[in-house]
Amino acid sequence: MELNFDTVIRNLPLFWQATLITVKITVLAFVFALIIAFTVGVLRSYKIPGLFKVLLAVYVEIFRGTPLLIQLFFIYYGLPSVGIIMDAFSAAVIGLALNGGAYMSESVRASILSVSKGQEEAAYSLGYNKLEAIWHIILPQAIRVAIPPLMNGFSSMLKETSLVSVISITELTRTGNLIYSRTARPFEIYLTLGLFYFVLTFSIVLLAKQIERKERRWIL
Amino acid sequence: MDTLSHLIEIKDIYKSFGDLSVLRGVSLNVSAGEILGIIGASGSGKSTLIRCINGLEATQRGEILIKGQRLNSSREAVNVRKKIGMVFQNFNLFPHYTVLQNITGPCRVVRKLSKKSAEELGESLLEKVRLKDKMAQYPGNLSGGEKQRVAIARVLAMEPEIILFDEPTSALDPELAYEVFDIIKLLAEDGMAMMIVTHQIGFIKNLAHLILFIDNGKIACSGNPDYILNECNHPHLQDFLMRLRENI
Repeated sequence: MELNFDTVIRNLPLFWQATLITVKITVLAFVFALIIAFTVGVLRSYKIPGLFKVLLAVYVEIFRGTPLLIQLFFIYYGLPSVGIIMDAFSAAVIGLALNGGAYMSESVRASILSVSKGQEEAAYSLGYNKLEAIWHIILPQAIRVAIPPLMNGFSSMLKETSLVSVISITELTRTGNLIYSRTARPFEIYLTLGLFYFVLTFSIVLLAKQIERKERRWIL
Repeated sequence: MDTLSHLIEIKDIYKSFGDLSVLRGVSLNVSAGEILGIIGASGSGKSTLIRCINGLEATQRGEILIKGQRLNSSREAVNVRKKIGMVFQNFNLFPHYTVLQNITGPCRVVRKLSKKSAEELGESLLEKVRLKDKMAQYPGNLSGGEKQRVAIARVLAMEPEIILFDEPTSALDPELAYEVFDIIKLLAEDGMAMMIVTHQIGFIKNLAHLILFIDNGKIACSGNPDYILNECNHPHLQDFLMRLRENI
């Protein structure tokens, strides 16, 4: 077989455009997922009213226990039946954020549990109230523990954006598919696609290393 | 006696963890400037007693009054704790704060001091515990004795009326324990009220006005150090003291 990357090079502008969309969806969904993860993770680590606790557990288990693809279909094609209609981009961001938030909330919860009980007691004994203790003492220590799994969640999310191609968002994967259907050059196109994804996830790895290094100034 | 003159009044408190009853009817009073030593075998309830006083553990019966104020809801506990300092066996310094920030952080959050006055206070207290040169370090880089001295400075910054010590030197090598004892002696000279749970009888006997021997969740014997060490003939106290002496 003869390799011919002309098709790819000719379509590079399309790839760039698609990369921008992939990055946009990933970053937006990740920011929302972080907000969800910290809210749910903190709430589930402390005593809260029973009904509320059950609701949060149901959310986490449902989104972790069903395929993301089904969640996206449900949000984009299913929800309009009950009057909730949104464009594909919003559906993609919401789906990824809810899914990622469920997974990441467990990382946040584990990281809060990893902070020793003595830290909380020391804060209380100095006169901190519960919120002050969580905000100033527990979370800053928990975040350091949570950074590696959260950054891992970030790069998983980037790869999972390829699923939103099924709700007709022209991100990287769908762009690749469209070019393939016009040019019949699958080897070159999917190789290039893989390379694009790899460069993006590797950038996240480098970013994670940078953040971890900054956090390592204190030791236990 | 006039109840208002007591800093802490404990009236017949009971505490159990599940089936295990740890405190079984403890009553005592502490006045301003008074130093109480609390001794007893491991598991006798002495740590639980001082943890109940600042609300880290809830009691099941009886009441605790701090300057006449009842301690029975968590909201009250937050206010009451500001008058009571606590020094832990495992120091519990905040590892993500520098030595200075360990003092200024609580000053700013709890006492709402400005950054400048918190730092001035922090530096002067670190001077007092002779650790000013370490103020930019993180606790992870300090020795155990240094950590405990920072913990004491942190407590002092809250201007407590009494400090509770929960085995402050048990996690330290003997020669580091003396660094901490020296600081506690300084506090005694300043007239700070203290309750000190410790196994270091030799240290506490020269400092305490009163020593309580806790046995099986009750105050089995109490009196001045001389009485406790030489006169009280409670059999468990005799056993306890003998075991401590064998270890020396």
